[in-house]
Amino acid sequence: MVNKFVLVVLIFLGWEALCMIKKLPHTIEIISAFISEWDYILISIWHSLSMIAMGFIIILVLSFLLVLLSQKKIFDDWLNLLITICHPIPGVALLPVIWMTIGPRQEAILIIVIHAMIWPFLINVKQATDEVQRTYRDIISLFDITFYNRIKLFIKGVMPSVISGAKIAWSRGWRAFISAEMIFSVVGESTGIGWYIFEKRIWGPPAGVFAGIIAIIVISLLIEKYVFHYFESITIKKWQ
Amino acid sequence: MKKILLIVCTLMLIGCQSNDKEIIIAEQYGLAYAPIQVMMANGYLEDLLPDYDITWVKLGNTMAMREAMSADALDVGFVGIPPYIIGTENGMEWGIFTGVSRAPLALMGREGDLESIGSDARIALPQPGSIQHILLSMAAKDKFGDASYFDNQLVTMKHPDGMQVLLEGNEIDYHFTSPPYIFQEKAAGMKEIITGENCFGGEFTFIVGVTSKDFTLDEEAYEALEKAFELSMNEIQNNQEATLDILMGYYNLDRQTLKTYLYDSGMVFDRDILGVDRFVEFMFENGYIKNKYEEVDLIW
Repeated sequence: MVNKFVLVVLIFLGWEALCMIKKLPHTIEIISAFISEWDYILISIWHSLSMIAMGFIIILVLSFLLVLLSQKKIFDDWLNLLITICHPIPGVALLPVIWMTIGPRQEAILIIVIHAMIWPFLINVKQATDEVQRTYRDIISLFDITFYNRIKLFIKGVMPSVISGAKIAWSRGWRAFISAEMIFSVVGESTGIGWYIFEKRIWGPPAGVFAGIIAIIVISLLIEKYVFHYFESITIKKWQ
Repeated sequence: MKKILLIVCTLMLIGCQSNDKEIIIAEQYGLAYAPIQVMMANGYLEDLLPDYDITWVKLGNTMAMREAMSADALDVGFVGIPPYIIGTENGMEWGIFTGVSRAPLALMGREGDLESIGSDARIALPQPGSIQHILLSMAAKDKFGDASYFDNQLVTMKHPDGMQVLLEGNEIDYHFTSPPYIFQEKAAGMKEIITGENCFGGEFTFIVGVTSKDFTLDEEAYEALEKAFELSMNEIQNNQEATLDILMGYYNLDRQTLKTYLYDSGMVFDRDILGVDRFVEFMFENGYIKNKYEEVDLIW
């Protein structure tokens, strides 16, 4: 805890030193922008998180179906090829293709989020599934294990990879969403934290941009600390 | 701990270092920026300031330019008047040193006029606060008494993307744009719903050149910049063939089309600065800015 506090103080001092040589807003200005815009920031974060959550549900369903299909050799080959092709493509690079197909709508951003999340998640889940099947194949054939216990064994085996895949998917999806919103947005509809930062870049004050960045950091820490931590505590840590 | 302090101090010293004889200029894509491209291609500034390092950088938009200038990483840039006013409102220490161009801007669409734009129609433009946004707000104020009348129908997109989705007929019904996209959209069958001049109520300068306050303190460099710009304007106005030779390298257009766009389609390249007061007045009255500026506050 003390170490973390020292790091925060060092960052604060470093920032203030930077403010002395560059025209950047001071910490106090950023904090007051954060406080005065809190309601707007909160709505933006809510919209961003809703979009990521929607993306998450979709990738869970898609991954389940794809992993199920990949039990057949031909689908497995196709899926591996698809992952190799799609995983390195940054989501925002797909924007022109998405605009030409579905047009510049909110759904375009959702597709970018799904693209950013699904491949790392799928890689983790698929590797874990293959490993668990290899590891427990002999045990399952030697012992008379019921279907229910097989499922239980399988879930316990893949869960660490599912959680680490989910962590990567979350961070990729979060970044993709913010980047996409900073490139294009449908102004009339609800907008997220990426648009908030973009708007502050246009209209100012500059401290608002950094307030938005702080909001991103805070949310990232909270999700990591509480959501994933909680999920780990009721699954893999409990099973150890 | 000592090592950390040493690294921090070194980084700060690197940050403080700057070459006094360096000029960094932002160039942008678009026919309205032609004088800058001619100035760069002919090396006017480099010839006038042989002792200086002249660096040309490409920045994506006005915001990036503003941020670079406030970080002392840019000396000269080119923007529309409204984004320039918004930057001043946000404490930028900069000023206009020249007008660059007037250009035909318009809200493009398939048919109709401003009154026929439905509440579910989508309008693409580069970003809130851009000259296109402010012109549309002016027209909305004039027709409907509300500057923000279309604000909930905006989709922010770069010009090439806006043109592409408009022509595809994919979710975008209108596009507020500038040359060369306005010409290309017209050629593809789109109509002018309202022109920039009709929105504004007269002529206005589309792009102005701005410099940081610090840059003006270097008289030699500032005068050379003015001179270089003058040479560039003369070249565009009096030497069409050489200008076309240069600009054909920038734009994927054949010579005749480029010539028509530059010289026969309403583009004007001169150093006049028109419309600053009217933009300030409108933006102040409609809450886009909180301070009312005089021309003398905005032009060096």
